[in-house]
Amino acid sequence: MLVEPEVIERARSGDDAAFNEIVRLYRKRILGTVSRLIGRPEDVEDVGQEVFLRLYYSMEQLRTPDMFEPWLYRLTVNAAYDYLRKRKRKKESRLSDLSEAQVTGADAVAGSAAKTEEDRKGTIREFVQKLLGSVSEEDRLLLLMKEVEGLSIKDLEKIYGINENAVKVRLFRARQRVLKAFEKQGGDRPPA
Amino acid sequence: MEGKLDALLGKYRAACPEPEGSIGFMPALWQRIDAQRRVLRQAKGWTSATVTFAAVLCLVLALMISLQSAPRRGFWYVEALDGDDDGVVETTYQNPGGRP
Repeated sequence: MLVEPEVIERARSGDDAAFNEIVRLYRKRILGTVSRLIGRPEDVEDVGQEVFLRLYYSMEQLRTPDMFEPWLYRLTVNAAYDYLRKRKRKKESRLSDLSEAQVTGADAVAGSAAKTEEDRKGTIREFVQKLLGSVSEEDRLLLLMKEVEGLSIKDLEKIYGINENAVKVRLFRARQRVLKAFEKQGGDRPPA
Repeated sequence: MEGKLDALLGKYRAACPEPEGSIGFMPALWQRIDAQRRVLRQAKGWTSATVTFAAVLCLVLALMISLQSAPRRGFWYVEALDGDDDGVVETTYQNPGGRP
């Protein structure tokens, strides 16, 4: 853990300085996770603030300092989930909704040697986010927490509050769906 | 295909920026915390005002009901009959069957 249990205890009892210390220690990690979960750099800070806001008002519910990190990840996943749901309501188009011509165009852009490094990263982000559109928001986050964030099944059990088998089954199904979508979208030609 | 997907997810991790948060991150966070605190305080104020009002209303209603249902002194049924001047009590007593 990045933070001492006593700092968590102080923050729980309403010490704002202790809470600031927690934010300082976890800010980079949480913003990184949020960035990978939502895939939109322009909204990362806003969602990150939402995570810490929820943390501030839920510190009292934290039973023991040992559960702090799973708790924080849970808040992160929930905030990302809420953000993705709101965004979905805005009916943003996903790759699965795009026409064949648009897909070909996206691949062509991905393959272009002239594009900058940032463009290439942006294309990968967009491609993966749209690929993950083939699974539900919950499964998308679960898959990202496992495959991209590198969390273990045990960590996911604590974060989601479900047993090991349920985590494995959901992960397997989500991965199968994503794989199918990947094949459909020309998995042999992913963005470089 | 599984390997390619793993590689793609690895690239995705590298493609996502690791933002530190801008200089305004903490002030904006505290602004949001304070804004929510104000809302909560207002809600708490409204709740306590509503509870107080409801308690006072309950007391007033209880008082009114108890005053209404309290028996009026000197107005028992038997006393009313006793004070009646038209002789109904006497008549009824003398003719329990109501026959003439």
